[in-house]
Amino acid sequence: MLKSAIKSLLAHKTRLALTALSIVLGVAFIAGTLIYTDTTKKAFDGIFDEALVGIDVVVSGDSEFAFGQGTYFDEAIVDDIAAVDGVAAAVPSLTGFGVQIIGPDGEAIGGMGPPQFGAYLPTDESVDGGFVVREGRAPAGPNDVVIDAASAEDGEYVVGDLVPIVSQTAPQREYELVGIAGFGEADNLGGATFALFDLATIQDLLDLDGQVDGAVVQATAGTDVDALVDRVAPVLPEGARALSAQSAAEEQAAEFQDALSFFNNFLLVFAFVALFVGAFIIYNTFRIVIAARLREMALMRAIGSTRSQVIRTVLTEATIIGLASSLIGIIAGIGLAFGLRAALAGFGIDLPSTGLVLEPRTIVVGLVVGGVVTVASALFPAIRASRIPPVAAMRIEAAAIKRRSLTVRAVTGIVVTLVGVGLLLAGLLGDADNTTVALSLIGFGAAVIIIGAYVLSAVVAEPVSRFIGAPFAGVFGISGKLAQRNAGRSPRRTAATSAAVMIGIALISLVTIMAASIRGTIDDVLTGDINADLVAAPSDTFSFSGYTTEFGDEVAALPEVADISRVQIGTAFIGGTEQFMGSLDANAQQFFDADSSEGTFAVGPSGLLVPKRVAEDNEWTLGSVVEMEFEQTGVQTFTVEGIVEGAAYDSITINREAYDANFAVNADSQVYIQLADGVTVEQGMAAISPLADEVPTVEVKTLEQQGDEIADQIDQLLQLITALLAMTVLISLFGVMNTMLLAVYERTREIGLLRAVGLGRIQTRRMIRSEASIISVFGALLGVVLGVFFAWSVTRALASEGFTAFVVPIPTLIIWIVVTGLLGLLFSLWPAWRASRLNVLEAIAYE
Amino acid sequence: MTTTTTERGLDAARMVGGVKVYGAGDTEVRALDGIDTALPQGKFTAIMGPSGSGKSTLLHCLAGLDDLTEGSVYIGDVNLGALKDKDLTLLRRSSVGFVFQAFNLIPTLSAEENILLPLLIAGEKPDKEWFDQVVGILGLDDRLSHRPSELSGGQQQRVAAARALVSRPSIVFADEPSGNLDSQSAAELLDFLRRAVREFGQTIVMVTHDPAAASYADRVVFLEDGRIVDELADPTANAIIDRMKRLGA
Repeated sequence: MLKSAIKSLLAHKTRLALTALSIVLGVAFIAGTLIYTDTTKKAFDGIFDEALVGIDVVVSGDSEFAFGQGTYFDEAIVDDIAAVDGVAAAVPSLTGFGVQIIGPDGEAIGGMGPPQFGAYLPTDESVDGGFVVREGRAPAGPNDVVIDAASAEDGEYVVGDLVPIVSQTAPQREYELVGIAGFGEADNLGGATFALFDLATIQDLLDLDGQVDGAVVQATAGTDVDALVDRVAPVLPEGARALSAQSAAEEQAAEFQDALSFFNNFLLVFAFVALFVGAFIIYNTFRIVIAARLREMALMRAIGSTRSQVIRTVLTEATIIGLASSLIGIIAGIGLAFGLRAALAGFGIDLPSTGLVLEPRTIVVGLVVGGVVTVASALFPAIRASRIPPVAAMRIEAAAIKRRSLTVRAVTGIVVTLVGVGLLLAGLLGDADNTTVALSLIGFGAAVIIIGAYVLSAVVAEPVSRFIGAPFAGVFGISGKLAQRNAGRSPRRTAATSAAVMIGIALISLVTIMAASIRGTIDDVLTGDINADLVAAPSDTFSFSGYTTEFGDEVAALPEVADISRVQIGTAFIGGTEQFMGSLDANAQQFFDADSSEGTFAVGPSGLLVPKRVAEDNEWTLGSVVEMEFEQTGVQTFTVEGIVEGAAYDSITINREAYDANFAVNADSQVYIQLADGVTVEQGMAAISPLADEVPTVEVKTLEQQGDEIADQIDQLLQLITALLAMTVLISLFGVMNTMLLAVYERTREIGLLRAVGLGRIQTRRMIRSEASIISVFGALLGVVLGVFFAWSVTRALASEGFTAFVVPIPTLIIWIVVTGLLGLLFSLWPAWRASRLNVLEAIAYE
Repeated sequence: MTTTTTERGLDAARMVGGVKVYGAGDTEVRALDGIDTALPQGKFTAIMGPSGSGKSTLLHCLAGLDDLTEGSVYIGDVNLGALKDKDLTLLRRSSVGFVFQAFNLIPTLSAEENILLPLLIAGEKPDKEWFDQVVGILGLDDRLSHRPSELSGGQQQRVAAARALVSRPSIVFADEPSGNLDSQSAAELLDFLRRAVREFGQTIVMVTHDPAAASYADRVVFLEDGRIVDELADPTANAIIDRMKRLGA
């Protein structure tokens, strides 16, 4: 039976290729993402391993803070460590965030997510920590800087140039570029820029004079490393710990992986979306292919095959196709991983290039997923095919399998959709402490809703496609009318084909609407709830880095400025989880509208100002005692002195004194400015700009400008995500091409008849292309409806978190629908061409 | 839609020295082995012969659906061999009608739309009187809005016949039009075809293996092994059967 299955497959090579294509694509995306993820992991493992070559023990802070500023110690600990028995040398280490390299255009290089480091680079290469000076030398004096190769290229800096550097606590200063370095072979650290200095300089830059964040230790020859770690540990201050270099490398790599994991997870989610789309394509293709071979099946039954034999034959073919295509898909996935890497490099995220890693797990996953999906997709059609009465071998009309009514389908669809909605809402609204559980519920719920929508779409396929096809019939005459009718003639098939398109467009719509709504919410807050003429904020909206507090002091001193209110940000562990909090000035109320308040805005040195929602969640009232754990100072006790309700108040805040006391880096995040009476915005800007120029990472703008800039940055992110999602749409259009090719094949006789009675080649092509466009538009329309629904549910669920706006950018969505229709047309060019090239006589005689 | 202008007496179609060869060398098949025939205008011609005689091939070549290896075919005074696909298509649209044995209709179109199909393709308006007349004679008045799946076999073939005639082509080619029908439906269909010839001056060429069907024709042409071997004018079913017995021997 295996042989006959293979023979049967090879006899219809085109059909084979078409079915296989969709599987190849779906598996390629999964494999590509897995390969890419494994490769980056290995690359970074390798780098961190190499970074610690020649180093035996690493001393560092044992902070649990993901968004922390780091823990710092007196540099004297280095001497203490050096004195331990078995230590040949101990070299201090110091790294800080928010050290920004300014390009020749006055803008900071890098940012938009990946951090910007400043660090101490020892002159001794054996402890260079992975940094490789490619040109020039290591820094040796208070004016020297070494920057990463990617930044050097971006800013067109060469050794000898003067490079402006600014940190969170220091205004801009120029340093001489004495060297250009890479991290291992990569030009930067996965998108993160770095600037390297000698110890005293970086300490000054980070406002951490006399401090270090750890040390690296070389052991004397023959010393047992683990024993040495045990001997070093006792001499360390509280908050520091010693690890063997190997453990440290593993930990650093893991941390880096965590940082990248968000991106990796997104890629994997995207890969599963691609496979979900692929599953629909495979299911649809098999349905059509098996329908085309009904006569063959009937013949088998007529000569004595049992129903289960028929099913087994089909499933054997499906398994062969599934495995073979998955194999090809895995190979294609390798190519895709290359492509992913190149694409990310284009976005400035350069990851070290090692050979691509193909784990056995990837191959197994690819084969299993592709195989299972193919067989599962073929199962239902196979069972239906086995029901064909043997007499249909002679009279194909007898093969008309009784169609289950669309009513049953409608009911099924509604039930499934409701189940999905239930899951989705459970994930969105439930207070699952476990974010993984919540996200899984959301993802699963969305998937079930999509399946429900697919089931329901068959019910509306005929009337809706008639509506969409009406303009085609009007403009293209008989070609358009035939296309309009054909698009609705097999509602189930139209539904299956367009479902794949629907998924991609639904996600794109979701993302587009979310972005517009976020912009809307921010605009609402900025224009409605904040009373300020100007604001000084980092030019990179996504940056957590602040800037020197001197800036605010100078601005406040200007005659044009009536008052300022400053905001600082940081994190602390409250109730077991790390949360964003910050500090506000005592005059916050003057700048940020409050709908209601209790207690005072001007909290004392151990006071908390708490948003009402947070207070309710934690059951705090005025006077409640709250413990907060800071990275630098450990657990501190605070009292709730104020409770406020207002859109601008979204996290717990302390006063500036308390912030300075508890955070290592005392920097400002935003400065809101109210101008004096009679001073225009232009005059205010003119007065403040010279001060801002000295701190190039800060920009002074009106609130509207701030809103616009945030909108721009959100748009950039949106574009990236949309580009990736657009690829799933392209996959789905291959599915449309697939369906059209098979439809042409199926309707050979009909097309022959049309050509015989005089339908021209051009008209024939137009008919096919129009049908493909109608189906694509149908899918896109469904996708937009789904996307609006998803976005609405998400914004409703987040309403309690301050999400006020629900903005649906209708023109954009309409453009997507039109574009999808045009792409459907493009993908149908080949099937249309084939239809027009059918030999009329052969077509009419086709059995 | 008017027919291609032909003077009275001019042949609606003719084949001169027609040869059609399939394959090559050992597998060579001469489906048509030197056919000279004229199909007079306004007459109903039947082409008969055993399986493999080449009758279907002859029909296809006369209709422009297939091309000859040697010789030429004329519809009116147009040489089909000189036409490119586009012109052939236009010719089929305007000057030729088809009725096949089965699968004559587009499933997604109503009976009316199927009948008007050649005109819809050309983007032309139908002659309402002619349309009503044809539909009336064929008894399809109350079937016009139905899809093919809602029509009986006989009704489907009648719709096909109506389509073949609605554009008043120069010639109608029918390939076993009654082959799948029961005797009553067959008789109705063939009767209509004959009326189209007698009353409306259409020219019809029909391939059939059924003597009863052929008896509706004005003239029967007998084919054997790719050649015309006999002719019979004003045939009756019995006369045809006699001739065929002679051939088979």
